[in-house]
Amino acid sequence: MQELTVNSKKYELDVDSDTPLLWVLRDTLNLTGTKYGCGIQQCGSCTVLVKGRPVRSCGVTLEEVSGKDILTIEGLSEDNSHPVQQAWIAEQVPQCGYCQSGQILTAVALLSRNTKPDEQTVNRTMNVLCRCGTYPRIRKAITKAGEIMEKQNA
Amino acid sequence: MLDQQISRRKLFRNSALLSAGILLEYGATCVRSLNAEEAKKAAELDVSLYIKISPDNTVHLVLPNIEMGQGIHTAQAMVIAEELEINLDNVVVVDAPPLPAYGKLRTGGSISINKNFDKLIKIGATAREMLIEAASLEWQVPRDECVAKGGYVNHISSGRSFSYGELTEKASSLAPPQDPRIKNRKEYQLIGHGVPRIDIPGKINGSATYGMDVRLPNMLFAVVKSAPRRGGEIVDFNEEKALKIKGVKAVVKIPEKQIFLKVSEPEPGESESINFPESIAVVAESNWQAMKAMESLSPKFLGGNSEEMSDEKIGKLFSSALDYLENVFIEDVEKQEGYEWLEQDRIVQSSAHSILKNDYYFPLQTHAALEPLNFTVNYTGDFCEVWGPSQSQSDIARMLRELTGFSEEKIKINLTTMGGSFGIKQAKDALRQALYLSEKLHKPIQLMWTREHEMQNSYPMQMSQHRVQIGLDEKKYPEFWHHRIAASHSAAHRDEFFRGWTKSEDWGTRPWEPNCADGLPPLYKVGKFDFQLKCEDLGIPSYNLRTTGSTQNCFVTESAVDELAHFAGADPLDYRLNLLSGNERCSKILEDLSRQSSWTSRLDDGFGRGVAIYEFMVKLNWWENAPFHRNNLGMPTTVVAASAIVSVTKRGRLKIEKIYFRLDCGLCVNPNVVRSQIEGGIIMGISLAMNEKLTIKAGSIVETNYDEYKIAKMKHTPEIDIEIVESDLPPSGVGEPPVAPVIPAITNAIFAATGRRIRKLPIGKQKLI
Repeated sequence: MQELTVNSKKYELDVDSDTPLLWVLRDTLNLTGTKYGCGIQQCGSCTVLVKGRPVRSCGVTLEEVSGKDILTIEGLSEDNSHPVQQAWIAEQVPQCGYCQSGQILTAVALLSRNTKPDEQTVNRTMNVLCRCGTYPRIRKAITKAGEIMEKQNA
Repeated sequence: MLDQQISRRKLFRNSALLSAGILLEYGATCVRSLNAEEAKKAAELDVSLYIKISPDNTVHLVLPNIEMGQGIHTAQAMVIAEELEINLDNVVVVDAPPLPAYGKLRTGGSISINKNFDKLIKIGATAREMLIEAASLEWQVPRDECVAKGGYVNHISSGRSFSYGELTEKASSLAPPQDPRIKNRKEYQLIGHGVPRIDIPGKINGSATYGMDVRLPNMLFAVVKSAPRRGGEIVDFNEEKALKIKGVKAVVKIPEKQIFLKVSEPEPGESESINFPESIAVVAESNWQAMKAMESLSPKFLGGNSEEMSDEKIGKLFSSALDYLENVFIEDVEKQEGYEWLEQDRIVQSSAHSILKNDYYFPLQTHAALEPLNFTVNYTGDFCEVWGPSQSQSDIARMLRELTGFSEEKIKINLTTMGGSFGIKQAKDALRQALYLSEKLHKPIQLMWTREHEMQNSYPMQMSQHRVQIGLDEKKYPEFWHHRIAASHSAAHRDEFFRGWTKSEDWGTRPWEPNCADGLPPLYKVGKFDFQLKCEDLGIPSYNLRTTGSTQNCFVTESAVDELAHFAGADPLDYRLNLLSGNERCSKILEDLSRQSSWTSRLDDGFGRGVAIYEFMVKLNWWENAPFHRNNLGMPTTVVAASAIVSVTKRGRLKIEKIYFRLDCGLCVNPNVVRSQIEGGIIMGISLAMNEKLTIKAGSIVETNYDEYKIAKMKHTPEIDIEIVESDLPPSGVGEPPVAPVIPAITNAIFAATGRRIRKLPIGKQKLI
C-alpha cells in the first residue's frame, strides 16, 4: 500500500511503487487532466506540483512522491478562478489545449515565487512544449496573472 | 446557390430527435425545415449542417467541421448567433454524425469557414424570421412590430416578449421564408469582434475529454510496437516475460496485412498500398503496465521494404531525378539554349540573358502534435462504439463499416477533444489496431501510440528537393521559370482508403502527388512556367503537415525571387512589387508590410531583414493539360506576408528578433481566433525552419522523441507584430496559411545579415558566418 495526497485528498493505493506518478494519476485516480506527451520529461504536458514545485509526473515514481502534497490541474480551483486560470481566459491562451495543464501549473509555480518574472526567467522556466504555438499568449497571461496576484495580495 | 428556393415545406414536430423545436438543415441547395424522421434517415438527404432550437432555448448547431484547436467551432457558432440574434452562450456545437448522407465529413485545407459561412448566415436568418412570424401570429400584431434580440422576440409597443424556446412549437408549423433578410456587415454585433472562444473553460481545468481520457467499465489499455519498415515482420518476442508483469492480460500479434485483405482485394498493381508493417500489442490494466511489459516483450523485427534507404541515398535519388527532369519539358515548352548559367553561389558575370539555377531542399518533418494517436473501441459482436480524435468522421465510419461488416446503425463514433493534429489525425492506425484487440479480447480497449512509436511509425510530411531554373532578361526580370521537384512518394503507402487519390494515370509515367505542386506557379509574373515532378518511393508514408506542399514551394519560390532581386541589385521588396504589377491585393499587402515593419529603416551590423508573401490556397492545375496556371478551386484565397528581422553574432549565433505579419482573409470572423492562428503559424514556421528534421537510416526513422526531434519552445518565440487587413471579400481560411511565408522571411533575413543563402532546411547548425 502506498500513500498519496493529491489535491488535499489522501489515497491508499495498491499500485506498484515504481509506477510513474503520471499513470497513477491518470489510470488509478482518473485524474486525466494531467497529460502524457513524451514519457521522458521533455514535453512537460504531465507537469504537476509536488510541494509547490513543478515536477514532470512521468519521471517520478509513486514511491518518490508518497506522502508529499501533490497538486494537479483539477485541484487548482473549483471554478477556473485561480489568477492563472483567469489570465489564461483573459488572454485566450489555449488552442488544442493538450499541453495547457502543464503550462498552467508551471506558471503557477513560477508566479508563486515571483509575480514579476523577467523575460529570461519566463523563457527558462516555461519550457513546456506547445505545438499550437501559444507561447506569445502564455507570456502575456503570465504578466497578467502576476498582476492579479499582486492585487489579491495587496 | 443561396438564390435557390426552399425546396420543401413541411410540418415538423414530434419525434425521438426533438420533442418540439425548430430544426433547419442546409442541404446542397437551400435552407429547409426537416422533420425528425428525415433527420434520422438523413441517408436520403444531402445535409451538411443544421440547427435545432429547443424549448429550453438551447440552440444545437450540428457542424461538419472538427475543432482541432483552430477555433472553428467558435467562429461558426458566432455566425449562427449573429443572424439568429442569440447569445453565443446558448449555442451548443455538436459534431455531425458520419451518416453517408452527410457526404464526406472531413476537416482540413482551411476551408471550413469559407465553405459554411453563407449557409450559416442563411440558416440563422431563416430561423429568426420564422420565430418573429410565430410571435406576430401569437400576438396578432404586424410582423414589423416584432424585433428579435438576445434569444427573445419583443413586441416593442406593448413590451411583451417571448423567448425563442416558447416560440419553437408555433414556429415549427410555419414554412421557412424563401428570402430572409440578411444583415449587412455594418450591423454585425459578433462577427468581426474578438469574441472569447467557447472551448477554453474546459481546457484550463483538465475537464476537456481527450481520447485517452475516456474511461469505460472493464476497459483495458494497450500499447503497440510495429516493424520499423513497411512490410517488416516480427521474428522474435519474449511473451512469457511480458505476461509476468502484473496487470498484463494479453500479448497479441496484429497481422495488419490480413486485416486489410479482409476489407477488399487490392486492385491489380496496388498491392503496395496495403503494405503495412506487422505489429504486436500488449494489453494490460493500466498504460504503465502495458508499457513496462512491452519492454520485457522486446520484439525483434526483420525485413520490410526500403531497407537500404538513408538520407544519403535519398539525396542521390533526388539529385538524379532532378538531373533527369531538368531536360524533360511539356510539349509547348522547349529547352532554353544560349543562356549563361548562374549556378549556386557562383554568380558569374551577367549577360543579356542569364539563367539562375539552384537546388532547394526541404527535409522530412513530422506533425509532432502533443497528443499521440489513440483510439478507444468497444466491439461487442453486434455493435461497435469508438472514441477518439480524427479529422474525418466519414473516413473512420467507412473503415469501421468495412472492417466490422456492420451497417451504420451498429456503429457509433464519438469524437473527442483533439490534442492537436496538423494533419496527422487523418491516420486511422490506432483505431484499426484497437478494433482488432477489442474484437479478439471481447473488452473495451484504449490503445495509445507511445511518443516513440508515433515519431518512428507515423506519416511525416513528404520531403522534397527542388531545382529551379529562371531565365532573366536584360533588366534581370524572369522570362521563364522551370520548376522541377523530386519528392518522396506518399499516397502509395498511406492506406487503402486513399487508393485512387494519386492521379498517376493522368500523367503517364509520372506518379503524381498533387500536394507537391500546391502554390505553384509563383504568384509573380515569371514568364513561361514549366513544371515536372518525380516522386521517389522511400517506403515512408505521408500525411500533409499543415499547409501541404505550400510551405515547401513558398520557401523555394520566395528564396529564388530573393536571389533574383539580389542579382538585379534591387531591394527585395521593390523587386517583388515590380513582379506583382497588376496584382493589387498582393501589392497592397507588401506595401503596407513595408510601412508596418519600417522596411527601409537602417539596421545595425549583424542584423538583417527579409520578406516573403504567399497566397493560399492555390493549386497548380495538374489535372488539366498545360499551360500551367494558378487555380484557386473557385474559393477565395488568403494572402499572407511576413517580414523577419534576425541577428547573427560574429560567432554565427542566430536569433530571430521580430516577425511582422500581415494577413488578408477577407471578412475576419473572429480576430481573436485569427490572431491565435497567425501566432501559432509563426511559431511553427520558426520551428520548421530552425531545427526540425527526421533522419532516415536503414529505411527507418532514427529520432524517437522530442529530445531528438526538437520543436520550438518559449525561448524561440520572437516579438510578433500582426495586422489583419480590413477586407470586403468573403471569409477565407486561416489555419494553414501563416506558416508558409515565415520560413523564407527568416532565411532571406539571414542572407541580408550575413550574405549566406540558406537553400537547405533546417537551418540547424549550418555555418552562417
